[in-house]
Amino acid sequence: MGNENRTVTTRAWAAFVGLTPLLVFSNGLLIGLVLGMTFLVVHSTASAVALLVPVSFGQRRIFAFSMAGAMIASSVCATLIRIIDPLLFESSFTRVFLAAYTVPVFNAAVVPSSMADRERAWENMARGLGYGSAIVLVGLVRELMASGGVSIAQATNPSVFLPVMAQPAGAMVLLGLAAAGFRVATSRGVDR
Amino acid sequence: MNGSGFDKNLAIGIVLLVLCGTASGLGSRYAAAQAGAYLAQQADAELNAPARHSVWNTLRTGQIVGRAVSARHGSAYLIAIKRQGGEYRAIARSDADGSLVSVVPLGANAGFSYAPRLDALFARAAGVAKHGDDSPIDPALKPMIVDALETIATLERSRTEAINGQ
Amino acid sequence: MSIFGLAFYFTFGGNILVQWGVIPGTRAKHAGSWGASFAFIIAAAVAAVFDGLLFRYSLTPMGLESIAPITFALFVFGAYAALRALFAAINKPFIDPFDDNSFQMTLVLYAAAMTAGQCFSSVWLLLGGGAMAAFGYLAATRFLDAIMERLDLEPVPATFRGAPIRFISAGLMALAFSGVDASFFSRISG
Repeated sequence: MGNENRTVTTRAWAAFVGLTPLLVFSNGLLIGLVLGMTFLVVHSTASAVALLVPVSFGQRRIFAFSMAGAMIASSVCATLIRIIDPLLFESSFTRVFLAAYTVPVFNAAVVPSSMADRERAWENMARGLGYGSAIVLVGLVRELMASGGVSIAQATNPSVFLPVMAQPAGAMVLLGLAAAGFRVATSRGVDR
Repeated sequence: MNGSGFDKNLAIGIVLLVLCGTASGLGSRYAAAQAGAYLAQQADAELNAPARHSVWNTLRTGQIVGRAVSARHGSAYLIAIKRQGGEYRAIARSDADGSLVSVVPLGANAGFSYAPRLDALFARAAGVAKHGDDSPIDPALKPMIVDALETIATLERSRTEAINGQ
Repeated sequence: MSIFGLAFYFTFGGNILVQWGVIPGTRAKHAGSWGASFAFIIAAAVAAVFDGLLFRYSLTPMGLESIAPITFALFVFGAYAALRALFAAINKPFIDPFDDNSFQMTLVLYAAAMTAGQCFSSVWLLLGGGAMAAFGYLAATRFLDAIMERLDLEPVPATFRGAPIRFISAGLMALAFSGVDASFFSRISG
């Protein structure tokens, strides 16, 4: 049981590390919402296609179909962002395109090997929601720390508090501290 | 899979993917058209000149996102300077030989600490601000300003040469 | 920009590990061979040329920028099929790469392709940019692994061992690289 928990935790961390490009780019509430929602749509699409495609296709074909579905979903999200705010699209399209190439999406596109895993596939949806929420939360916290406030509009004279938090360096340090905090919280839960 | 090797489900799946991809492409074209119209209007609004009736060209060359071209009032270029930590945007008007006429700052991300100095340096480049207001970080920021202005000059000269050559 | 300028930029200020946050998850998997590293650099160069030229000269004029991830996926699937065919032709077994390491490498490949595509538009600069972006990523990964090996000998608190200290080390490395970028290489790349 302990080894199974450790395997689950290791895979969760591998997926979280694979999400780091989106977490690093999410340096504000607006961009966090955009990336979080894009990731949620892409991840859900990959999971759904992996489950809907017949098992007779084989693992490789199912993976290809799921990833193709995820790419189309990220393309649709990029289109919607461009319609809503073209300037936001220009500043964020590279990361929006990257959302489908993250490790959690790849893992969601790999078809579950056993029937028991397929029955638990709804957990993929919850996982996608969790990761998307994490992206939004990281953006919110980083903007709060970088500027002392939260806004979804660009300011002609933006306030500055701790500007390093808006940079990739600050994001990585924040993630390291968050990982340490998560380890303390989970070890206390295990101890109880 | 049946004995002949043709899998109907696979064919249906591929057709569905192609249809979704095609729909995505059509949506992308629509979004590009809408974005062009919006950005041209925004550029005109920021320059307080709606009578420009500009047409948008997406360029994405260096720090230049694109330009709003007006038949009678010249070009306005959208500059987006991206550094670690955020993005700074401004609209720069240029004349036919690519010289800078004016710059209108559009703002920057919250927490982007370079924005005030970029405002000052662009104002200085446009001849609006006086020299003497220096900052220790100016040597790190000036190359970005110079690069943007040189790119605008090159693009504008190419555009006017293409028009004159027609 | 000279080849040395390219190499310096993509190793420091423009390093994709720093700018894009593509931190490798574990250490052991990245103690790869020189051959694998060289193949990865070549693949990144080719991907950068494909993605850069296609995006700038095909997709953008037609307003099809949003389908760029689909076209890159077609490139990756095509390359995968070509590799399988090559291994079949030389009668060697092909191991299906369904693990987190190969997934991460695909992510890095796309980040390298987009980094070079955003900066350059000519074939040679895209080739060089893609190759240097991959080289800079591999160099930064080795650097980070060396830091982690040194930290193994230090009394790091149990809470910070492993992923937390790896993230913090990458963050401090990013801080140093961004300082180099601000001091020197903003003059090169703008």
